[in-house]
Amino acid sequence: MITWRPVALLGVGLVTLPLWPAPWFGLLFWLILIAVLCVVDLLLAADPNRISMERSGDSVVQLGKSATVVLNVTNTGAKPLRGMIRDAWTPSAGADNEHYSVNLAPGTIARLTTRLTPTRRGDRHAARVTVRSFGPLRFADRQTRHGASRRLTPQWRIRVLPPFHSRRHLNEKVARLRVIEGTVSMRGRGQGTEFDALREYVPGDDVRSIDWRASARSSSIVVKNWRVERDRRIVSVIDTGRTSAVRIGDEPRLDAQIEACLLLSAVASLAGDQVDALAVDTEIRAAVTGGTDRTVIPRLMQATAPLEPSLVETDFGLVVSEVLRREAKQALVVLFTSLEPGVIAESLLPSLPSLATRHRVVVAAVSDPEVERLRHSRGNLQDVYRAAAAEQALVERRKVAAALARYGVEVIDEPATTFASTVVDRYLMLKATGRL
Amino acid sequence: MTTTDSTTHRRPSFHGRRFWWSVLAGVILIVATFIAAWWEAPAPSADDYLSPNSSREIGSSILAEELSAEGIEIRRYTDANEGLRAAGNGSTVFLPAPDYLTPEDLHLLDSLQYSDTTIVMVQPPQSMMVPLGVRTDGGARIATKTVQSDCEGIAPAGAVQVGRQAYQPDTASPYADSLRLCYDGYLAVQRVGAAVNIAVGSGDPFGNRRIDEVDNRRFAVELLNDHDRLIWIDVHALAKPPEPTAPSPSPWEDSGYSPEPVEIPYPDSFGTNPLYDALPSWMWAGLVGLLIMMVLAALWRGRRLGPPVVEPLPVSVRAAETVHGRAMLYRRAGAYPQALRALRAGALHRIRAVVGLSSRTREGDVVAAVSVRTGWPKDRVAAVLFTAQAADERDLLELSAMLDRLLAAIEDAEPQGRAE
Repeated sequence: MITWRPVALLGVGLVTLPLWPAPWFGLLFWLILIAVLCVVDLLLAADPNRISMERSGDSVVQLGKSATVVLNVTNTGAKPLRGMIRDAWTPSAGADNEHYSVNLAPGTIARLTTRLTPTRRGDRHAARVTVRSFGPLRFADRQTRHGASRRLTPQWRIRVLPPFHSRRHLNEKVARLRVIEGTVSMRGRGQGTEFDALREYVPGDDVRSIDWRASARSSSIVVKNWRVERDRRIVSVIDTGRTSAVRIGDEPRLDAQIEACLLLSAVASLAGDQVDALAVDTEIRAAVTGGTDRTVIPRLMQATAPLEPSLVETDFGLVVSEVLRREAKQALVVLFTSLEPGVIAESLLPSLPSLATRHRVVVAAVSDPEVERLRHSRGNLQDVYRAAAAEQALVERRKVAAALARYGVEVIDEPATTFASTVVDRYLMLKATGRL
Repeated sequence: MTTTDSTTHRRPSFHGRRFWWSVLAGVILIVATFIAAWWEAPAPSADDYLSPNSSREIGSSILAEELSAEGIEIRRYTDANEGLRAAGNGSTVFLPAPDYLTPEDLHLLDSLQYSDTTIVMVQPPQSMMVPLGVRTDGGARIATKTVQSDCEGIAPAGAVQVGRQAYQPDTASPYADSLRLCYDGYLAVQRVGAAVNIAVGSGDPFGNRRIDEVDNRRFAVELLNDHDRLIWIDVHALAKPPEPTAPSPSPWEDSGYSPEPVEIPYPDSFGTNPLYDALPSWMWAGLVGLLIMMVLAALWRGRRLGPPVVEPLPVSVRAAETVHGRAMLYRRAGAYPQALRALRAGALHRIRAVVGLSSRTREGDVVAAVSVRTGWPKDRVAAVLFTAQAADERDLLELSAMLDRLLAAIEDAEPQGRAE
C-alpha cells in the first residue's frame, strides 16, 4: 500500500500542470511516474514476514501498578527492515505505546519496551503484532497479513492481581490479634479457652483459673494459663453469581468480596489458622487449599485475579456439598454473597442446616449505599415510590437476615468501605471468645 | 472468566451470493416491466396504426369494413390539411394520431368547431385539450383497463377497453362546465355549438387486435357513425414544412453592389462542450488529478496497522437496579397502598429502635410511646403510623411527608425520662 509521499508528489505535479503545453499529458506523466516509483519501492521493500519475535518481562502485576514487557524483534531477512511495528494489547491492559518505528539491519534485534498499567483485574493478553515495511523511498509499504501476523505474534499474558486496598487495615487487625493472643501484655494474660501451661498464682489472676489439683501437689497456688486456639480452619466462599455483578460505588460487589477475603485470610494465616478459599457460582471457579504458610496470600491473589461475575444463579447446594467434602473438622465458613431474598430462600436456606450443624457460618454481604440514599429521596411522586421500593428491599433483607439467624448463622451487612474491616472484626471476636 | 483470546474471533462472513441473487432478481423485474410496457404501448408513429387500409393487428381494417357496411362513406386522407379542409357540416373527423397535426391543421380544426361535426381524438396532446376544458388525470397506464360505461346517451354503453389515459375537467377553463366524462374519466365529451369533440383514452377499441374483445366493436362503430361521412386522418408523422419559395431578386442586383459574404462560424454540432471550452484545459486536468489524489489519500489513510482489538468486558449491573425497577413498577401499577405499607414498615423499624421497643410490641403500645415522646396526640400518631389509608397518590405524598415529620420529631425529642 502507498504512504503519504505519492499523494504529496501528485499534489506537486498538479501545481505544475498550467506550465505544461498539454496538461493532460502532464497529468498522465505524473501518474505514470508515481506508479513506477511505487512499484519499484514496493519491490525493494523488505518482506515483513521474515522476522522473528519473542517476548520477555513481567507476567504478574498488582492492579494500580505498572509492568514492563519487552518485545524482541529480529530481522531474519536479507534486506534492512525500515518500518513500523504495532504491538497491540487489549485496551484495558493500559499500554503506554503501541506504535514503534524500527530500522533493522539484517540479523539485528530491536527491543521494544511496552509499559502496561492495567485498568482492570484479570488476565490481559497481547493481541497481535503487525509489521509494516517501507521501501527505500518510503513511497510504498508491505504489511503482514492477518494470518501471518497471528502466526508471528508471540503470545503473552499478564495477570493483574486484585489491588488489596484493605491491606491498610492489616496492621491494626494484627495488633488486635496480638492482644487477643496475649503476646502483647494486657491484663497479664491472654484470653482464650485452650489450655497452654501452668504457672504460679500472682495476685490479680482470675480465681476461676486456679488449678486446685495441681495446687494440692505443689507448695504454692498454681493457675492454668489459657491461650487462644490455633490451627482452626477458615473457609472463605466467594459467590461469583449474578448478584456479584452489581456495581457498588465504582466497583462490582465481587471486588469488595475479594478484598475482604484477602484481608480475612491474611489475618487468619498470621493467627496460625488454616485458610481455604472457594469461588463458586454454578461450578467451582477457583479453589485454594491453604495452610498457614506465607504463600497463601500470593496464591489466593493469583486464584482470585481472573474471577469475573457470571450471570447465573449461584448454586448454594454445590457450595454446601463442596465445603462439607473439603472440611472434615469444624471450621468457620464465611459466605461472601448478598442478601437477595430469592437466592437465599430458594438455594441457601434449604441446604443450610447440614452446613450449620457441622460448621460455624457467617454470611457477609456488601450492602448498597445507593439503597440507603434512595430511602431518603423525597420530592416528587417517583421519589416517594423509590423510597418505598428501597424500604421494601431493606425489609426483605432484614427478613433474610432473621431467617439466617434462626439457623445460628451470623450476618454481616455493611457498605463496601467498612466491609473488609467488619468481617475481620467478627473473626477476631469469635476467636477471642473461643467460638471458632 | 474471560480467558478466550480476542484475536481468535472471526469476522462474520458476508452473505455475498444471496445478496447478488436478490440484485439480479430486481434487475430482471425492472427490465421485464419495461419490455412489457413497450409491448403493450400503442405506437401512433407506425404507418399502420389505426389505419383503415391496414389489416395488421395495429391497423383498423375491420372497423373500416364494418362502417362501410353500415353505409358510411370513409374518406382516408394521408395529408391532414387536405382532410380537414374536406371536412364540414355532416361529417365525422377521426384523429387516431392527433400528435402529428401541424399548427395550421389545428387552426383548421378550430374552424370546424362552428359546424355540425363530430371530432374523435385518440389520446390528444395537452395543447389540443386546453380549449376543450379538459386535462389529463395522472399519467397513462401501462396496460389498458376494461371500463364499464357509466353515462347514458352521451357515449355507447357496455364494457370497453379505453382505460389508458384518464381525463378530468380543467377548472381554469370556461368550458369545464359543459364537459361530460364517461367510463371513469377515460372518455371526455365536449359540445361546442353544433360540434362534438370526443377525447378517447385509448386507441385499443379501434384496432384489429382488440376490436372483438368485450364491447369494443359496438363502441367504435357508434362513436364514428354519427354522420354519413367519415374523414379518417391517417397521418403518422409531422408534415414537412413547404419548400421555401425562391428568393426574390435583390434590389441591388442591378446597381452592381454585392456585399461580401460573411462567414458565420456555426458551432460544430458534434464538437466540444461549451462548459469545457470555458475553462483552460489545465484546470480540467487538475480537477481530474485532484480526484485521483483524493483516491490515493484514501488508500494511504485507509490502511490501518493491524485490526482494532476486542476488549472482553465483564458483565456489570447498575447499583440498586432492582430498587429502581420495583419503583417503576409501583408507579406504573399505581400501587400506592403497597408503597405506603413499605414506608410505614421502614419507619416503624427505626421508631422501635429509637424508642426502645421490641418488634413484638403491640400497635397501641407503640402509639402510646411515640405520643409520650413527641407530644403528638395519640390519634394523630395512630393515623400516621397505622390507620390512615391513602385514597390516591396525593394522599401517599402527604402521608409520607407526615411520616418524615413524625420520625424527625422522635429523633429530635429528648429521651424519655430526661425531660422531666
